[in-house]
Amino acid sequence: MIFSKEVAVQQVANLLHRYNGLYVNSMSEEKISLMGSITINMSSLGFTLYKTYRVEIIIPLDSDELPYVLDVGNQIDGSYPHRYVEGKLCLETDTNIRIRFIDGFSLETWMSEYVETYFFSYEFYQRYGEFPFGERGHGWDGIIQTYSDFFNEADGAKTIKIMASISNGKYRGHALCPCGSGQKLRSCHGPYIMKFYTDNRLKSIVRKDFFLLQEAVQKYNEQQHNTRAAKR
Amino acid sequence: MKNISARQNDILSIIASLDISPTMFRNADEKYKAITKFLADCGIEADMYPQGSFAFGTVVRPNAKDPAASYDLDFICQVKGNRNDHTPSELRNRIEEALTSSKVYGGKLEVYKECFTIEYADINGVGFTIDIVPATDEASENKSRLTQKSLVPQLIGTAIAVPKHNGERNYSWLTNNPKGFKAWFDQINEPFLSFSRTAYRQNLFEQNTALFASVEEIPHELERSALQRVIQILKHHRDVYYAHFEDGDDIKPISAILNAVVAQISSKYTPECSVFELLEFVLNEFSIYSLQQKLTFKEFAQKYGERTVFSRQDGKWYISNPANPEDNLADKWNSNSKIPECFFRWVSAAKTDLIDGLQLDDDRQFRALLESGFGETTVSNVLGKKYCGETPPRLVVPKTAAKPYRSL
Repeated sequence: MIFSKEVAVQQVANLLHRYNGLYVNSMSEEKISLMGSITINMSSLGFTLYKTYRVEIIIPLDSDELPYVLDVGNQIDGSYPHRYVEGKLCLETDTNIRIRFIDGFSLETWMSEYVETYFFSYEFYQRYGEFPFGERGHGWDGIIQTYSDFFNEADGAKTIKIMASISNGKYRGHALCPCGSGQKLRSCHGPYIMKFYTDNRLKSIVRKDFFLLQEAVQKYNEQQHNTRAAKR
Repeated sequence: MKNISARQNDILSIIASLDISPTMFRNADEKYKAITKFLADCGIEADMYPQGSFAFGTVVRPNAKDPAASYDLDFICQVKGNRNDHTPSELRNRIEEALTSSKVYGGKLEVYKECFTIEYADINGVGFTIDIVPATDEASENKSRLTQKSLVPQLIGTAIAVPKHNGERNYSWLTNNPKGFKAWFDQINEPFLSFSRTAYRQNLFEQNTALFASVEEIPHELERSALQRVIQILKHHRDVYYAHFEDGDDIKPISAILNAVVAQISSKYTPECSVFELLEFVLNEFSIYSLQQKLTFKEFAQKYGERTVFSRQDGKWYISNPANPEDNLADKWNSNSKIPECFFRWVSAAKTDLIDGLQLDDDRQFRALLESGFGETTVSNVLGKKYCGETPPRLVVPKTAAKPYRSL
């Protein structure tokens, strides 16, 4: 569970203090909805953004679902690849956000690091045709890339090997690194991945993704098999 | 409350701060004339004259990334005779030998394959380099061929031949016509100049009373029309915009393209105009031309028939060089599609920053666009904190910043 109602209400109060164009639109046992405008004042890579956006922010309560943002002002072009048709914004992979807030979710930090950065990336992309900080691949590609960043390993296949090892094993610095380099773990990826073995909260995030990935691969293989069987 | 004319004046002050100062102009003028004399003393009879931005009066301080960068001033050194009297490498070598042997120039000379540059020391922290391109008159048989092809044949008389490097120590001739280009530009610019000349000269005089004893003393080369200002604004905006790309220097539109297209578009506008009226007109025309990226040649011609500054027949981009009918200024656009894509994205950003930005209610929003367009340092140097809010923008560290995603 990310938020109890009590914690969420407290954090929303702080959030409304900082973003004074937002107000509580509705509140139920399942979720809080915030509406209104946020002004973004950010600068990076020689580009400065000062602009106001109309948004709805949904905060699910007593749930594992992350908060999310809807582009109610329709200020994100429909052709932009990181906006769903119904207006939900694809801020980052859930994996990245969950790991960022492993010590507890902060709505304020989430707003500044994810929501504001999302709009900044969007405007930068419209202006220069390039993403300022890169973008994630779609679907599983993006999730594996997220782990690639954390593990400091550019290769996707090696990243998956490391995920498998974290999901099923313990950290042993003198053992061989799961990436297959032939080096000892401690002198290879160890410094980047140790915490994923030893912190059970991180380990369970990797594990969940890894098993879902395995399932997806199995499903894909079955489909392929069935298609081939049907052709015969 | 927004004050549009104050914002316009602030943009103009920024551009004026990037222009060459009257002192530097005088200095550069003396220096290149001294080079001509020096070459004559070495037995090289040559005419040296400015080309490019210095000739057009559209100089802006280069290099958005380095505020201490010096101005590049380009000159042609046209040696007497014509291309039948010289070989390209012999012509180039003669000038190189003279300059390298000189006590005055030898030390500050850089020898490049197709030009020589002489670096002059800073005045108040800003220096300049004189780029010298060797040349000689084009042969008469080539001129008559060009004259037959040209839509403006009277410009061809000044065509020159320039040594072009082909690898190793091998040089061939390349036709160019900077004087013709300037004559063409001046003809379009003259009505714009005469509209604002008196007021502009008076203003410049009042700012430089230590330098000029009277308004009459101000050289004509220092006058700036709306057309020249528009080109300067676009050049600086271009430099800042393309600094975002690793290959920015390879893909940005060369100044010759800007001079040619802006002048050609402006020739259809009333010269009794302000800088921003003309800028808006030019940028709107660019948006129309950008439709050629999607429309076929025929569709575009049917809808926007009169517009031929950029054309794209059979998918091939073409921008004419008014002074050389055999030159296509958009040659590179056809070998790298990123170049036209970026060009039209850039001009659209320029419109957002410099035209739409003027209309925004919030000063902070105007300032943000201006900083994105002209560079934070350049803007702050002239405007200080004007239009800034109390809270400075939050700086994002690119390495750890969130990356947008999409699940399947």
